Amino acid sequence: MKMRRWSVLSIALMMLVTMSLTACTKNENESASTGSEGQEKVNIVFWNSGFATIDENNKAKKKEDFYISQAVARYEKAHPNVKIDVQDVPSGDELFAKFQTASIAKNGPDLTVLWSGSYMLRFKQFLEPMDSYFSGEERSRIVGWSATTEDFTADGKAYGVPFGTDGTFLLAYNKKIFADAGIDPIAQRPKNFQEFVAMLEKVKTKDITPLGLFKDSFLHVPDYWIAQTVDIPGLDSLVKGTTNFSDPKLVNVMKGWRELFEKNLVIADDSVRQLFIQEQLGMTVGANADILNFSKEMGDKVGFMKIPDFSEDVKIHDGGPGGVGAAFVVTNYSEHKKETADFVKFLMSKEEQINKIKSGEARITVVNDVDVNEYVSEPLVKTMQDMANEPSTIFWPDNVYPAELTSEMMSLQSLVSSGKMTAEEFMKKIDQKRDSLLKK
Amino acid sequence: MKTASRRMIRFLIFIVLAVIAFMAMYPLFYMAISSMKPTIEYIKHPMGLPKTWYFDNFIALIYRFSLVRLFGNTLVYVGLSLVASLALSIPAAYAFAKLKFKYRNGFYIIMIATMTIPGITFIIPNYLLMSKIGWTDHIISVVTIWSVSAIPSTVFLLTSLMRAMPDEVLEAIKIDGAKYHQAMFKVILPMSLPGVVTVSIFNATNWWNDLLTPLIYLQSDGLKTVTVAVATVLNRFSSDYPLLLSGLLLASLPPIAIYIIFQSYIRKGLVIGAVK
Amino acid sequence: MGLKQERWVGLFSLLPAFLLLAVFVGYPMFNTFFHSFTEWDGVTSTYVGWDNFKTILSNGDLPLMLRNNLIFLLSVPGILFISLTVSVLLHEEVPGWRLFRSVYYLPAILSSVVIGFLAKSMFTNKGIVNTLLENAGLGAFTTDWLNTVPTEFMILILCFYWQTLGQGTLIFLSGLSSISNELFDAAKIDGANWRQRLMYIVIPSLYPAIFYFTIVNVIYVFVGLFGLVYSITGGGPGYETTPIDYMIYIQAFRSGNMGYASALSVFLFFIVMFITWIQLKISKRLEQ
Repeated sequence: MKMRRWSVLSIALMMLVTMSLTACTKNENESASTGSEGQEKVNIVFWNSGFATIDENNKAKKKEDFYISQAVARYEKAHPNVKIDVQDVPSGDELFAKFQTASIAKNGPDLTVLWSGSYMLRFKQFLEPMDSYFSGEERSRIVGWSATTEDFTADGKAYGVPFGTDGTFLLAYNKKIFADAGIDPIAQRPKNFQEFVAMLEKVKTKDITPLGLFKDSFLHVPDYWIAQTVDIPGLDSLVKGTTNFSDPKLVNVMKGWRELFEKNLVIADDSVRQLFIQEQLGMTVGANADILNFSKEMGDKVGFMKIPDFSEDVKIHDGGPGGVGAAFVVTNYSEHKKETADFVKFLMSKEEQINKIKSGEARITVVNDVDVNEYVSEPLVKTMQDMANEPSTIFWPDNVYPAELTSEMMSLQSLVSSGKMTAEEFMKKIDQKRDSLLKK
Repeated sequence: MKTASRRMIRFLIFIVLAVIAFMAMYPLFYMAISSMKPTIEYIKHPMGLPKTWYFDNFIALIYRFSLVRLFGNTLVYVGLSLVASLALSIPAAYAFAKLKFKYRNGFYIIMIATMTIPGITFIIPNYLLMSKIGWTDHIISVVTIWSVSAIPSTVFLLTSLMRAMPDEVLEAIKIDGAKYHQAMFKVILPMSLPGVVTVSIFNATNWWNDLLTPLIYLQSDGLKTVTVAVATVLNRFSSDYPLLLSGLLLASLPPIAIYIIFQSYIRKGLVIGAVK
Repeated sequence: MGLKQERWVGLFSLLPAFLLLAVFVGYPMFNTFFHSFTEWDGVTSTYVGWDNFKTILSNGDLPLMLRNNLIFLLSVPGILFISLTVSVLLHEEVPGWRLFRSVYYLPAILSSVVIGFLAKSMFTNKGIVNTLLENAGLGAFTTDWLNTVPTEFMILILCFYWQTLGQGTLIFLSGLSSISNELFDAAKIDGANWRQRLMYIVIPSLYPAIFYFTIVNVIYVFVGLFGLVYSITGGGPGYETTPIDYMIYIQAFRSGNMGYASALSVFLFFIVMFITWIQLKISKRLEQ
């Protein structure tokens, strides 16, 4: 009993010690920031959710060796009156919740990286338009502005600056499995959905699940088919309500989505990357990072192709979803908007973009005056950069729909794939949701 | 014959309990084996044993985070919140359990009612409030939110326990002319210690795992908690699950240690009393 | 202490707790009530009367969400039964029971993220569960666990049980330890069998603990299961596994409809209050 009392006491003591320690260090920090009275120091708070601070392939890499730390160090050296306070934050839902809450109280950062398109435009009332900070020349060397503008056009009012590109979303396939089934998906590239299904069915005869998808693959496959069917202006009129999702052409896409599941051509869960690498799966979807991992693990056995067109009469052929998925945003309540925009410009500069690629943390870029091929030797990376720049790459459709519409689509699409909702019902619901959003 | 069948039954009980124990241990085991895999191996064999001894995930955590500070911060916030929540809850529980006064039941019902609202609802109003007082990005915000939101459930448990305390002891000390604080420190606290420890374990583990409160209210890197820091491992451009699991494993070690040390206190005397 | 004095002592003991609750729970609650009658994006709000509540009742999501909450509510007796049984078994003090008792609380210490993660990887198409079933010759029972609604609920409830068993045994075991051994021995001499002892000694003396456990967990399934739903099913397919509190999160932080989210919170508050009130009534009756 005595012993236990001691242990409790020692824990209490430990807490006290750590408490006083933290208290002390906190004071030190405060005095440091108020120390330089003579010259006003500009403090820019950057919530970093975009730059890597972890390297899967080199875990012993120290924090100060990552690109963003070095870039900040370079910038601070060149601008002694500016201090960039990089605070790592989670991304996705957690960042949105934090950013939303803090911004309502005008208490957020000066700079952060949000998902592009409607994900960031949701917070438009807190974002500083970037047009006045970037000259025409500065703007023209960066591609993908349409991901950050109000109306998704390249020269609209921009609420952010393209951060980086996701490239084009591809299908990865196992060459051996496909050869065994007697298919060459490149030479005999399916021209429409029916041919695609026929191809998958051939793979299935070899007792191998043909296609592995993730739970959010709706965004990569059928949503892309919808987008290629109507093209970007068509997507815009769908969102504005001048055309309807219940258009039979689009309903067919959802019917196709159901067909893939109905014919047991697909499994959709978190294990697909595992199964693909273990060669138990004919084909799967992937972006840059997955594709490099696949080729590292499977070598020559892995091949890549763009998602087949849904039909012959789509408006955009042989493309893929992708593009600028994230953007720098400067808050309009920031006290140092100009200085923050200058820092963004610095990060987008030719030199810094080259540094970023050389660091190995980014593989492809959004500036058109840097040729990635000069700095990387891997042919696969080159292919991806080329594909990303092809005009057939369609900007993520889910970043074009209002966030609420995407959320509704994501929730309901799984009812279609599991056969609980028909394609017509689904599209009707989406139309209804869009109309109710337009009414607001 | 009788002892033989009794032995058989005891053996069966042992098996059942052992199976449940295995299930309870499994998540920890899973984290441990996953933390020793490189990312690609985890993708290939998420459930298998690691092929080699691979500690790079932990090295990455050490390089990536100032662990001492993160653990120190979390320990301080949780410790202060524990002290604050108990200081607020014990007198209230005592009043509900043992004192007679007007509107006692009314207050009690109000207290329980506050437990029935989802916490997410409060985030925005409370953040605005905190930012008006100027408490955001300061430990006081997290400590306040944690300790205040834990009051109702803490009072609820402690009241139930204190009701089971024999009135005679309290009467005796009252007749002796003892003051409130004497009754509190000589009788109430010692007798309700197991309950206090139990509820503290419940609260401390909840707080330790809480992502949303410290994520929303704190910003500076120097103030972060372990749980928030670990959540930054995943971002749009990296999904290093073994690293995440290593972080979560590391983050769960202190609460496990605290639990093991404190649980011996719960052994005797935690009796939830009559409900009135 | 005189009666009059006792009254003041009583009220003063409550004062600090209630003052703080008034500020940090009362104020946001009032704020939520107020905003439930508005359209609110966090910055500006416009009064819309009962519109939000009308939408809740008319947009068709409500029956589904109530069904989901009901399923979770009905899972509470299950974990109560399991915790009681396990506590009684532990009370037999078979070898290793102390270790078991300590270990059972571990899943509660881990965050829902870990539990969710693990459950997700166990139940994938070619995951460990299906593989085991196949190897045991039960291939007919393999299914796509994470893509069909009943099995998704099963997994969610399994995880809820996983994280709650420790709490249950902690509470019940200490209750059991207070039942005097004489009482047990007397019952044994009277020839009471195991089941009778359970019904007539164990359950009645554990009654207050059972009451506490039930109230706390019923409230929990309404306002706390959010973390597990978020990490395992994300509320889908459709809204088939979305309980009300998860919908509040979606509306407030994904869609930015904070007025509507406030109205849903108020709605949920009344539901949970009502259920808690019924529980209090039942417990009073049972006690008599």
